[in-house]
Amino acid sequence: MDEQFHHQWRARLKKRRGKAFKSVTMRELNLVAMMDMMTIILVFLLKSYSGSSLSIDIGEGIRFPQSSETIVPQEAIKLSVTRFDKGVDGVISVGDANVLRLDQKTVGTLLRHSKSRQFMIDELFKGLQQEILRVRANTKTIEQNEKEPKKAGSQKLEIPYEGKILVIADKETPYWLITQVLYTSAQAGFDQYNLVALQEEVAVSKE
Amino acid sequence: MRRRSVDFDEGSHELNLVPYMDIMVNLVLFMLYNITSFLSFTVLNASIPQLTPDAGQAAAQVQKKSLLLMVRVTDGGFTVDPSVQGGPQLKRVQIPKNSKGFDYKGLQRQANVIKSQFPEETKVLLIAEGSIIYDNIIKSMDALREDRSNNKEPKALFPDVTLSIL
Repeated sequence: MDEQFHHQWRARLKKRRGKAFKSVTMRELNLVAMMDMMTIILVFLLKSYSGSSLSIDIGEGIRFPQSSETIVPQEAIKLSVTRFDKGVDGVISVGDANVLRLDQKTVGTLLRHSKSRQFMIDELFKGLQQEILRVRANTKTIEQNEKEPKKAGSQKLEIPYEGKILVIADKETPYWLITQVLYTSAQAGFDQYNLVALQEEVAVSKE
Repeated sequence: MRRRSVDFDEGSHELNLVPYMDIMVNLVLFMLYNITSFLSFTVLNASIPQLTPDAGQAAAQVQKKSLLLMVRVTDGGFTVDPSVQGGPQLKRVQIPKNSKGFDYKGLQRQANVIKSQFPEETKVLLIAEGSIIYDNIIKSMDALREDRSNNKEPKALFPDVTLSIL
């Protein structure tokens, strides 16, 4: 009985020593350097995030063309045309709103219209007009707030409306669709077209 | 008994950093995934033809020697078609595709030749077939806009590009 108790006690002690040893090694791992590094990366990323003049949502649907131009883009109303192909439906969107799904049937219809020199896309026209109204309403709210600075509960204006539009299109988009998009934008009241591309040096270094 | 109290004391000093590090790692990964500022974007200014040109501009164009430079982009290549008002006409030049596709360098050479004769002219009308893809349009605009072949300052050619369709 005594011997059995002795064995049990020894086993318990061994186990305990093992635990103690383990906790000592865990304490020796110095995490301060790693946390320093993580904090610096986080601060850098936060700064880059807020410092970029233009935020473009890069999804799988857009492969940007490359250009040697170096003009820094400014915020404006965004019009995007995503990639469409056989079996892949694209989307035309204004701001955050999708205005037209580019499935095979729609693309066929638009192509026929383009061949018969009808460049207007009605859904896009409506979408652009709604976006202009939204931006103008925001502008009014801001102006009112400037007059009455203490009044709360107003929306913040993100983009001024100056007749400028950023055209963000997939690089394989056919020119007939680009023409329709530009024509419709012109009819909706835009007169400055900024075609968004990736700066060539960056694009080359990424490859 | 003594040993147990020592263990207890040492354990109470441990600062649990695991949740903090979890948050940090997740934040860094989230931001790296979402960040776009590593990609430098640029914009190319373009315009579309005006249906009713300014009367004053039209009158001024008729009076002095002026150039209407048209560049057609088709599946076969480029056609540079300069039309001169009030002066000797320039030859239309075909720039066919080469083994790599469109000959952007050839287009830029031709633009340089025309620019040397009309140094004040900045406008070009880019007329493309509907089947041409957007990437080729952007590269054509690049070739016509400025010449960066020399390592010196880029030389402005025809930066005011008007887009039209064939």
